[in-house]
Amino acid sequence: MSARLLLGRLAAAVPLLLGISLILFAVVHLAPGGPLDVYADNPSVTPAALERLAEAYGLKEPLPVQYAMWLKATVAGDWGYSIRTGRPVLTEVAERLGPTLMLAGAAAALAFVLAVALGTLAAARAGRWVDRVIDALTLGGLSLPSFWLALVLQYAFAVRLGWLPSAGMETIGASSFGDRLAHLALPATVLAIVNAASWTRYIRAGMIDVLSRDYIRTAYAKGMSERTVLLRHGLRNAIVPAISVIALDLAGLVSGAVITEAVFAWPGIGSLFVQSMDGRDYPVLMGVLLMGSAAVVLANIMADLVQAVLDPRLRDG
Amino acid sequence: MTRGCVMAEPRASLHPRRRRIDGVTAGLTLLAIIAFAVVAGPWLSPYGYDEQALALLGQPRPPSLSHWLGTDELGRDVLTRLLYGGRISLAVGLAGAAVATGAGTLIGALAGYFGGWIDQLLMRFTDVMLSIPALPLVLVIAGLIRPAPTLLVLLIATLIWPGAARLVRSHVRSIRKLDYVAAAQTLGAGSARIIARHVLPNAVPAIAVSATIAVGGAIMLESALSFLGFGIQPPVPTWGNLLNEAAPWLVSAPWMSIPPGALILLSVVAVNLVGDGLRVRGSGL
Amino acid sequence: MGGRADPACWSRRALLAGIGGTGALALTGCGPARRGRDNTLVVGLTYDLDTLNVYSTGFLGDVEAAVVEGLLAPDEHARYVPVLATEVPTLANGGIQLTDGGKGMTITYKLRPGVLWHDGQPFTSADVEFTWRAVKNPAFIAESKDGTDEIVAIETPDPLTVICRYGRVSPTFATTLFTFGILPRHLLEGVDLNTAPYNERPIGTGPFRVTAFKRGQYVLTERFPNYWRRDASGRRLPYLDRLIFKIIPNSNTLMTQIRSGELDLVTQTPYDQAKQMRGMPGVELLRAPLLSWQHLDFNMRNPLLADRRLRLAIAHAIDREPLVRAQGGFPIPIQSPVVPVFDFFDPSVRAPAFDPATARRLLDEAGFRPGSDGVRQRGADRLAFRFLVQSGKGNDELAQQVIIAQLKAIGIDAFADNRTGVAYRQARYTGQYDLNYANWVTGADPIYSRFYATKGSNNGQKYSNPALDRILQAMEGTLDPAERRCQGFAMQRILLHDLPSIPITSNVAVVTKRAGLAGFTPNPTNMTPFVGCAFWRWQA
Repeated sequence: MSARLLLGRLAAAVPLLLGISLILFAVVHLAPGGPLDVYADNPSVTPAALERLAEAYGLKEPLPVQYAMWLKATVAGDWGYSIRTGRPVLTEVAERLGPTLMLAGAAAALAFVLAVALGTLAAARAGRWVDRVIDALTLGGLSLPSFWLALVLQYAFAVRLGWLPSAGMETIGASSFGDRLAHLALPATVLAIVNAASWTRYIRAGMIDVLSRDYIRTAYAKGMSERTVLLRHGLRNAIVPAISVIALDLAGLVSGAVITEAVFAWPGIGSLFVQSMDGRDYPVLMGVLLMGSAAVVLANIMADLVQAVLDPRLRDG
Repeated sequence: MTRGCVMAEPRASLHPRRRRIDGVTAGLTLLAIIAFAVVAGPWLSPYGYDEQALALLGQPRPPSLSHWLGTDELGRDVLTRLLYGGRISLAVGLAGAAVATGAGTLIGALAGYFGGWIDQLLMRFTDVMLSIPALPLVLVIAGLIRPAPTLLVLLIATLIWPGAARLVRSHVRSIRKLDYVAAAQTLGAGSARIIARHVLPNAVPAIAVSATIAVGGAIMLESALSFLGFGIQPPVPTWGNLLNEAAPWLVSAPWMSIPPGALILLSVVAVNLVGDGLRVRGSGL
Repeated sequence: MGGRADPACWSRRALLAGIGGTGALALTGCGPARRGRDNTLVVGLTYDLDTLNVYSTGFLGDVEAAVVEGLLAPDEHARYVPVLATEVPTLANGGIQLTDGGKGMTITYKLRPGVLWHDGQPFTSADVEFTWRAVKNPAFIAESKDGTDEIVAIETPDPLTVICRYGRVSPTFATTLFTFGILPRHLLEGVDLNTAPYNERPIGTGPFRVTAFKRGQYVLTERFPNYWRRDASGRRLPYLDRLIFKIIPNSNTLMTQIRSGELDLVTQTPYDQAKQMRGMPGVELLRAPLLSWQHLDFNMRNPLLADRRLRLAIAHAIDREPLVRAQGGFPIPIQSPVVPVFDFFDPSVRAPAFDPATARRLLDEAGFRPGSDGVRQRGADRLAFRFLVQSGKGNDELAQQVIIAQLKAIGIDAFADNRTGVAYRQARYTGQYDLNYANWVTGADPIYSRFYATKGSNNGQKYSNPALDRILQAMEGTLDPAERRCQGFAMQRILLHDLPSIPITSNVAVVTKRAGLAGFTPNPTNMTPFVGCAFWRWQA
């Protein structure tokens, strides 16, 4: 793989990240009251203590200086302390990243499998009733409010049928791989639905495009079975263009799990975010947003690289 | 990272002309029915959206002749609230999408037409906005400032315009290379005039498609914000608020929770049908 | 409830007889109570814990109450009983002595011998003295430092004696500092309490010790084998082997977990949810009184609302019956801000009765006439008010909508302006609201000056009445019950005349629990029922 491509992409990411940080900083610091607002009404925090905190956080400097200080500290890994818990923000965010990645990963895998299966099937039977049904399903999947689906699934599978746990990440004290999977099932399904629907459409479109190419006709002419043609030749070439979309959505999954995590009491970034909203915990909110944005940028770079690997024509960028 | 056309290209060949009823017609009809119902419904209803029947207060009541979709736990008519809420949800959705599409079109057209450093600047800004996770950012802002309907529209628009901008830019770029644009330039027409007269009209299908995506996104975003308690304040109903209120009664009073969910679903399906249909019609997309 | 028993006569034995008595009998009958889940109780918490330090958490200390103990604790009747102290200090038993000719006081606690911290170190008077110093330290950002300033000095003549010297007479001394909990000096001396590991893994003397705290998920506690307390039959408490606190902020999910059997106990079920839990097999709903009342507050900074006629009109527009019904019939209508369990509750005071005709007449007289949209106005003054409620509090949001409808009926437009968590508190204290519907929860000895004194720390209304300030000062500066009662009556008369706040209902805790859980006693105070968790057990 070309190192030049990688370097170029990384170099382009730097101004992007700077821009993101500037906007986030502005949003949080231009808010009425600013980051120490939470203490303003707490009778146990004296004006003197408030003064000291403002000094410590550098809030007495002019805004551009504050931004520079904050940026320097952020790059150095010092993300400040959570107002709610008094712990370092980096610790708070880091310990929630695992569960979110697990949930997003499971959702992505599920969505990908569904999309490949349904997309291929729809393309192979384009225009026939199977295709229509799949089309209607994807349309529904794209239009379904996820929190509504979450509540319905919770009731059906946890209360009514009792097959799956309704919330949480593990059975406390009795955690196992199977237990994790059971806890993942509902939230991952809810999170996967929208992406499964949109990816199905990309795969189907890509497949139809590929299937009309000459080499596919050649393959059929050679007497290869439909299955072999679809899987060996069609899919590989249909997936490549879909990858950049999938990568973007993947990063969105990580930060977009806010509602799903809230409903399923999943201890990830989304839950942390909602709790921090409640406590106006600015340092943590900044940390989550920054981490989420960085994930999007990173996913884009990865998508470029993966595409370059799969499709040699793109290697020179 | 300019993958502007990636949204549209794979979908180009998505739907070969095969629908018996054109998606655009079906979608618009469905939307018109919903729009008519939410506009006319509250007028025809004998109840106010916040009118509490004292005798019915305390427990949701199932559908009856006097309350076709039953009442909620405060004795309010579910149907009236559903239709009234639809006015707000649809209005916020449409307005948000309109603002987003307008802003996206402007920025996309400028970037695509002029290219060079203007393109670089505007598209880097678009990239920045696309990279910040949408829902969390809106939540932060909505948590800081009280989301009145107008602000909500602006917030939603802020999130959606970058997608529209990318789409429009890529089409403006391709149109710009066409002969008639060059001809207009040779004739000495000003840039503004060329963009308005020659470029944008040809980008209308692309803009329309991005607008339908925006409407669906805006309706969903409004309901998500309301569900998390950062949207329009009760007792003013929106579909998101209604779902939020119905959540504890999901099982015991399905007449409260199913209709708003179904209407969000139907409305978004309708705009998606229109979008898909437009894509099929303008197969050049 | 009239005469309140002197807390001192509530000895530990009486407490045990009251709470654990029947339980102990049942136990000796059937042997160790066990259940499928190896004697574990799973409790649902509706909030994501911030810290486990009882002095800095922004929530009621449910988990802390199972882990950390204070010198005293309120029982299920809101009477103080000794915990780490051997008796509740009073004037009668010599624990309280007046000094400076009645201007100050000295409180002496005798500590329980043989109490161990969870790490095996002995608990001594040095820990009590350290707790005072640590909480008082200005560098420590605490949620409440109430009670620290009144103490001038603490002496510890021996490991089991604590002498606190007060600069003034403080009858409510038991409500705060040492009741919340004692901090272990041997672990925290010289440590920054804002960032101490203690906040994650508190070490206490309580019946359960924390073995794991997974943020956003759960707190796992297990039986402390060396807990000092024994039941009537001499068996060492607690009965349960494990107490698990599961964090489930979404109240729908919380109830789903009760339905599906994944949770055993929720101590404060939202009324909305409780309505639907009635009749669920295997699940019991308990209604328990709470020292908590709902009230509609006026922002006195608003010149319109500073006019008493307007407040009176609004008070006449409030109908409590539908409010109670909307909330499943659980809350109890009240007429006074004093919850009717205290002996200074005046049964003769009345809030303005529901009477919309009078309300309209008052508004007419004040010059407010209905405009074309039905909202009354007087010149440029329109009766449209920002109505603040903490969003996410289902009960309050529901009641708010009923109140909005009731005010609309007399031509007042109250529009919801709800905020979450800290933003809500901030709006309340900085006055970014006109009307506010909320509740106060008090300890067993309520300190009303916090809410209604001109400089009260929770007075976000800017309400001020110098006459009331004097009464509150007198009420909170005497140890004489008759004097407190007399001043308390005067306080209620003034509050119901001035109407800065309309008392509406008092709350009940709706406890949802598995039927097999026995020995559970509710607790009406802000110390939560978990102060009694040593006595909980599964019935066969």
